[in-house]
Amino acid sequence: MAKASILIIEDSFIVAYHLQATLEGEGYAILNKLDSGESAISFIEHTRPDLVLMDIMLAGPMDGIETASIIKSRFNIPVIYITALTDKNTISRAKITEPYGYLTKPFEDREIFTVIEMALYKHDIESRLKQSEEKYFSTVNSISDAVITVDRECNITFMNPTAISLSQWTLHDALGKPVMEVLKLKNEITKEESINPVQCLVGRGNQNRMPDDLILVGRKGMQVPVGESSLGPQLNSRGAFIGLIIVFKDMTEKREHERVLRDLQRQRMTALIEGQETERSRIAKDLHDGLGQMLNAIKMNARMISVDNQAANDLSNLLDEAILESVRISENLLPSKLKDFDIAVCLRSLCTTVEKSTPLRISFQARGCSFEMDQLEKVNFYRITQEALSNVIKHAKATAVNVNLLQEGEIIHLSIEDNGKGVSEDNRNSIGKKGLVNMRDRAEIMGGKFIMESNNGSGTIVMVEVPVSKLKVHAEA
Amino acid sequence: MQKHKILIADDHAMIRQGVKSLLSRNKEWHVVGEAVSGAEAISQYQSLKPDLLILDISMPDINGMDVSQRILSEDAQAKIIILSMYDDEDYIGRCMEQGVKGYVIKSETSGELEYAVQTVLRGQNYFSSQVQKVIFNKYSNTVARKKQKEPEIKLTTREKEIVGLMSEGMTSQQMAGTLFISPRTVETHRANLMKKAGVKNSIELVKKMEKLGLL
Repeated sequence: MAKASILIIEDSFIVAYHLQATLEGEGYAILNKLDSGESAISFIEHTRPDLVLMDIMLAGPMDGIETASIIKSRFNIPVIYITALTDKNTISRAKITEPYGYLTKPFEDREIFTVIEMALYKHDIESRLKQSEEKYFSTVNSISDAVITVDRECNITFMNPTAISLSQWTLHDALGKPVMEVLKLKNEITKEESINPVQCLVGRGNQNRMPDDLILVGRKGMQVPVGESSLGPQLNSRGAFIGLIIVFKDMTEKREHERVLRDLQRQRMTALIEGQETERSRIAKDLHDGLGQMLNAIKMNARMISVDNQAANDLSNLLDEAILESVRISENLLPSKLKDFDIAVCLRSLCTTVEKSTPLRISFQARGCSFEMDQLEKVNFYRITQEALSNVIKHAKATAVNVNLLQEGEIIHLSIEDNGKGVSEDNRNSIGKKGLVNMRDRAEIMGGKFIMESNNGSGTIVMVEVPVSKLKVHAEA
Repeated sequence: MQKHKILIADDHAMIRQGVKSLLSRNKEWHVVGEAVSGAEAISQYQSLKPDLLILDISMPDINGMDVSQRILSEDAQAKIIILSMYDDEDYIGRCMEQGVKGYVIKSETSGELEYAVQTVLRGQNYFSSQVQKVIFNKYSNTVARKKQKEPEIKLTTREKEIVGLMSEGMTSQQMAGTLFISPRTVETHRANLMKKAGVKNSIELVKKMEKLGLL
């Protein structure tokens, strides 16, 4: 690498000349020798040296210290003072300009080489550090994640622009404030308020993140869902804990995206289930009202031909069986009751029918109002109960089941509870997974919730909660 | 002698045909009209003023139960026999409550219908043998059910937890937070608990659970 280029500012031309000869002898490039601060600055305007050697006593109105401070602040070029002045006052003035070296005349040649090399090296390191700091700073400032750092007392030491805009604070106001005061977090699910991000680190074992489903309440009341957070310790060079870095994301778009996706899925599910039920209902109706009625009519006619004829009696018996079969198939597909009675009657009837065919004791209770709902919703409640009962029979080893339907305020609750062996997490997947998904789907397309809880050995409870308002909205749509 | 006027309402032509030819064997009966839907049954009943209406339940527009309710609300003496495929206690029960005079199931022998028509025209009620069986079963089931002892209250683990927290005075919100479930789920458990205990509010519930030693 070529040796550094140097500018000499020295009012004594003899000293300047000597310096030039010495340095050029060592391979340095001397760009110029000047004798005043003014001329030095106008030279540097167009030609940048790597280093400036500066005498303090100069020709012209500016002295070397004034000149050096301008060179430092405007051009960031390292300056080494070369002077005969060693009085306290001069040295303390010179110190403020953060010189890279201070040589007192007279000096040895070797001495100046050392000072120059050290100055160049130091300046290089410093500018690299500065660059990397700038790089980090602009990165942190430009990323879309919110970044906040706090000190050991949990007071804010830094917020990047994203954090500032999400919290609706200004950096000026927030600095030094306790993080709890600036970062107002509440939990969307548990409704817990004033969540301390630092406690998340302490309180939740080694989880270095905040819970999901948090809402950040801004200073002006703006609410933003935040998540995908991380909490990292800030350590100093000796590895001691000096603070915490809190990073989180604005989840608004992601949540919206998820919501759209869920809506789409629900629409697809609704269409699927509705289509299935419509088809079933059509076949059931054809069987019941078409084929069944025809068989009845044929039977009536057959009887009138001859009451005593044995063949006619046999025919009549066969027709009876055919009628029963068509009714059975039709009722299996879709119970005719669902269109003529409210859901409470239909579920009571279902429980009675199931009870007859099993040793289970099934009790049904309905409380509340009229359970107003449209045909499809009735079918959904009915199918959920059917599926739950069939799971109890197949898997639970239960002796009794309680089916409860109640309307409380704006919510219709349905619960099916047995006293069987319960469902453990392990076999939840193996038992009628399709059935579970189907129950959940049906609850969700009504805008409701499906919950299954089980304690090993003390039965299982399946609960469906559907808000009445959602049922009505759905019925209108 | 004046013939009895009979109206038949059924959306199936074959059934109407069958009933009509069955009734035509009795010279005292005269089928004055055939309605093919619920709405027609009501309007024809009003215009023809028959002595008897033989009515199907399952019809495409208004079902037979609603038809009979409308007719009977205007004329409580109206004579209606339900002729349906449904041999189900809920259908039969609802029709009887409304005050129909007879109920015959379509798959029964034609004798049952003839007898029903005769009896109802005489001013009495007639429920066919199969219908009577259903009514009897329903009655005996109800009696059996009442005799069954009320099951003891048995709580699930989760329900015990909830009663425990309730006795400490926690709100549903707080319980939800403590148990990591949604407040709505807590509400459901609470509602189930009150039903199991047969009480109307949380205070009574906690008292009762204490009394039963379930706390």
